[in-house]
Amino acid sequence: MFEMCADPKVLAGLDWFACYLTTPKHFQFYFSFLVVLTLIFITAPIVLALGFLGAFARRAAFAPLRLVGHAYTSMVRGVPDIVFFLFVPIALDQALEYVRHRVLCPEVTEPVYRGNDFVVCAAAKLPLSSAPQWIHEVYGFVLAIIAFSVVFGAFAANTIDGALSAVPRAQLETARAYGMTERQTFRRIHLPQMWVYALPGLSNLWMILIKATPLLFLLGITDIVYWARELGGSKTSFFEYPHPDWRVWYFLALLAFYLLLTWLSEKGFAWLNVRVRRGQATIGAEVAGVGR
Amino acid sequence: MDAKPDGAAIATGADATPVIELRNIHKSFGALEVLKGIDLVAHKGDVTALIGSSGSGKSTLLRCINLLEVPQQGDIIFQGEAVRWKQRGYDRVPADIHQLRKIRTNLSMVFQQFNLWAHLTVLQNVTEAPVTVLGLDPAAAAERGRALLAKVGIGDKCDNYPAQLSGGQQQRAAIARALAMEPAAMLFDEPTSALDPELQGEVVRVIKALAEEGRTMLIVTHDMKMAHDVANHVIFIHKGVIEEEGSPAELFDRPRSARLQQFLAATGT
Amino acid sequence: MRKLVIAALVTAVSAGSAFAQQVIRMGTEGAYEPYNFINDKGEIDGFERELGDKLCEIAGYTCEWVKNDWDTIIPNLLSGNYDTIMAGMSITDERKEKIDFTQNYFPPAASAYVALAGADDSVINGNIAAQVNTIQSAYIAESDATLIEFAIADETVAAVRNGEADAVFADKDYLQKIVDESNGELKFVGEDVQLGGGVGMGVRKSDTEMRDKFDAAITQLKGDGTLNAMIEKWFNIKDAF
Repeated sequence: MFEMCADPKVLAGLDWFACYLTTPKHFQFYFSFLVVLTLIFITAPIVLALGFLGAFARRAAFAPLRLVGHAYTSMVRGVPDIVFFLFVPIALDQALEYVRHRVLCPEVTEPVYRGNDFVVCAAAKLPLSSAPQWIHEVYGFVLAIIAFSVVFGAFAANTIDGALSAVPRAQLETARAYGMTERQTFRRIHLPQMWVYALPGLSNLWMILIKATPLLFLLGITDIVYWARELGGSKTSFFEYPHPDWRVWYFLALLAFYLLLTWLSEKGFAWLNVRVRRGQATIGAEVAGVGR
Repeated sequence: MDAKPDGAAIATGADATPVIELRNIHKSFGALEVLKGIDLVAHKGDVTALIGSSGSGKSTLLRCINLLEVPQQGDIIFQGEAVRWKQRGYDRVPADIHQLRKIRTNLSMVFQQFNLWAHLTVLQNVTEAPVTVLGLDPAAAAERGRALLAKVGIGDKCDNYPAQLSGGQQQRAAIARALAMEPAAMLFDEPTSALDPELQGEVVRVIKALAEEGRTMLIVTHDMKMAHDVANHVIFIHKGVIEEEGSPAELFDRPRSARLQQFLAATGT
Repeated sequence: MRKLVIAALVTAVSAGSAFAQQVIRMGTEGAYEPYNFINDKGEIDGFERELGDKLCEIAGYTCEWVKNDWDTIIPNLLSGNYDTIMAGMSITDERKEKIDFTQNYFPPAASAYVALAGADDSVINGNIAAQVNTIQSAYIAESDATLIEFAIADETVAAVRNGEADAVFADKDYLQKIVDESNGELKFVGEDVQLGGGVGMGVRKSDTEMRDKFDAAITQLKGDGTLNAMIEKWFNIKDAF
C-alpha cells in the first residue's frame, strides 16, 4: 500500500501497524464486512417475500397448497437451522449439477454416484471448473443466500401468518360490507394493519439473521469470522508480519461491528414501529412478540 | 307514546319497487336455526326498526341483507333484482360477484362496535370506500367527507385517528362513512348499544335527522324510545320468526301478542 | 444472464490459453504453515503451493487454488468442489477407504508434543490439543491422554499458551518454527512419534487418469532432485527422499 511497506522487517511502531493493517490480506478482511452486509440486505427482502408466500400458502383455500405451506414452515422450524444451512447448498448444488449432467452429457454411461464420489461430466459442473475463482465465490454466495432465505422465510411465514390472523375480523368484514373486493380488502385494510402485529416478530427475525451471518463460514465463504480467526492467529516468520496471538483484538472488532449493527437496527425498527402503529396504538399495545 | 313525527311518512306508493325485499329467509349456524322464515319489505323512505330480545336473530337478519351472512333458504331481492345463487359444497353462495358488490355498495352498514378502520384517520375512513370501491376522485371524496363529518358534528376531528375519539364520536364518524357511499339504504346494527347512556343521545339525534331526510333505513336496536321516535314500521322478532309487526303506535301502545307485551314490560317501555 | 457471462468468460479464458488444457481445482486448507498458508498478500502460499504449481505444469493442467476448511476438506472433494487435496494430509488406511492418494511427496514424518517451558515430560499424559480429523488426534484418542480437538492448527497451539491444554500434538515440521520463535515460552516435550505414510495428494477414486499423471510428475521431481530442494527450502530438511 505505502511505499515504506516494501520491506516490513525494518518497520517499527506505527509504521509497522500502518503497513500491517493495509496488507491485501487485511483488505480481504475489510471486504468481508461488505459481504456480510450484502448478505443481510439481499436476504431480508427475499425472506419477506418468502414469508408472504408461505403465509398465503398456509391460508390458501386450495387444500394441497395449504399443505405445502404448513409442510414448509413446520419442516424448517422443526429441524435445527444448521442442518438446513449445510443441507440446502449441497443438495441444491448436486441437484443442479445432476440435471445438467443428464441434459448436457447424455453420452456418459457411468453412474453419477460412484462409491463415495459425486461425479458429473466437466460440462455439467456448476460453475465450470474453468470459470475464474470469483464466479465460484459468487455461486457459493448465491447458494448461501438461498439457504438463509429458505430457513428465515419459514420463520417469517409463521410471523406473517400470525400477524394476518391477528388483525381483528371486524375490520375486514367492514371492508367487505362496503363492497371492497378480497384484493382491495387485503391491500387497503389487512396489509396495513398486519404490520403492527408482524413487526415485533420480524424485527426479532432480523436480529437473528444478523447474528446468524457467521454461519456463512460453514458454507465455505470466507466471512468476517474466518478472516478474524485467520489474521488473529499467531504468525511465525513464514509471514511478512509475524505477531503473537491477536485473535482477541480481531474478535473485539467483530463485537463492535455486530453491536453497531444491532444498535442501528433497533433505532430503525423503533422508527418503523411508530409509523405502523399510528392510530393502532391501542390495539398494538396488546400484542406480544411473535418470534421464535 | 302515540303519534310519530310526520317526517318519516312513506314517500312512495305501495306499488313502487321495494328497495329491499326478503322472502322466507332461513339461516342456521350448524344445528342452531336462527332465522325460521322471515319476510320483510322496505320501500324507499321506510325506517324499519327490528326489535327483539338478545338471540332473537334480528342482527343475523340484518347481516343477511348485505350478505355478510348467507341464508341457506329464501330470496333476497334488492331494488327488484333477486340475488343469484350457486352451490359450493353443501352451501349456497352468491353466484355473481358483481351483483354482490352492487348490493353492498348500495347498503351501507353501521356496526355496533363502530368498526372504524384503525389505521386510517377519521376523514380517510370516510373517503376510503368511495375512492377505492366507487372510484371517486380523492379530492372530491375528501371535500364531501369533510362536509359529512361537519354534518354529524365532528368536523374538527377529520385528522384524528379513531382511537382518539369517544364512542359517540366514533359512531357518528361511522355514520358519515356510511353516508359517503350515498347508499340506497342504511343498515344499523344496534348503533347505540356499545355506548354509555350519556353518549347515546348524540347518535340518536343524528339517526333521527337522517330519518327526517327521508332516508331508507333498517335499524336493529334495543333502544325502544329510538325505535318509537324514528321508525315508521316496527318488527318484533322472537326466536327467529316475526311475532308481530306494524306502526310504532300499534306495537308499542297496543301490543297484541303476549310475547311482545312481556318483552316491552321487561325493557321498561 | 449469468450463464452468458460465464460463457463469455470461458471463451475468453480458453482463447487465451492452450485450448484443450484442463482446469484442475486444487483444494487446500491455508492454515498449516509451511505446508500451506495464506500469505500477507492474501494468496495461498507455502510448500504445497509451490510444489502443486510445478506438478500441474508437468502434468499439463491449468490449476486453480481453492481454500476449504480442514474439517470438510474430504467431503467437498467427493462432491466435486475441487479435484485434489494438497493440505499436509498424511496417507492413512482410514482415508484411503474414501479417497485415493498419489505417492507421497513428503516422507513419513515425526509428530511431536509441545508444552509450556516449565512443563516436564509427564504432561503428555494430560490434556492434549490436536487438530480434528488428523492422524495426531486419532493417535491421542487411542492413548491414555485426554484429547481436546480444535478446528484449526493455530488454535491447538493457542490452547497450550492459554493453559486450556497441557500440550499440543502435531506434525513436528509445523511446530518447529513456532517453538523456535516463541522466545522460550514453548518447548518440545516427550518423544517424537512416527505416524502415517507420508503426505500425498488426495484425489477422488474415480479420477484415476489424473492421479496417474500427478503420480508420474512426482516421480519425475523426486528423480531430478527438485522435490528435495523444495523440502529443504521450506522445511530445512536435507535429502528427504
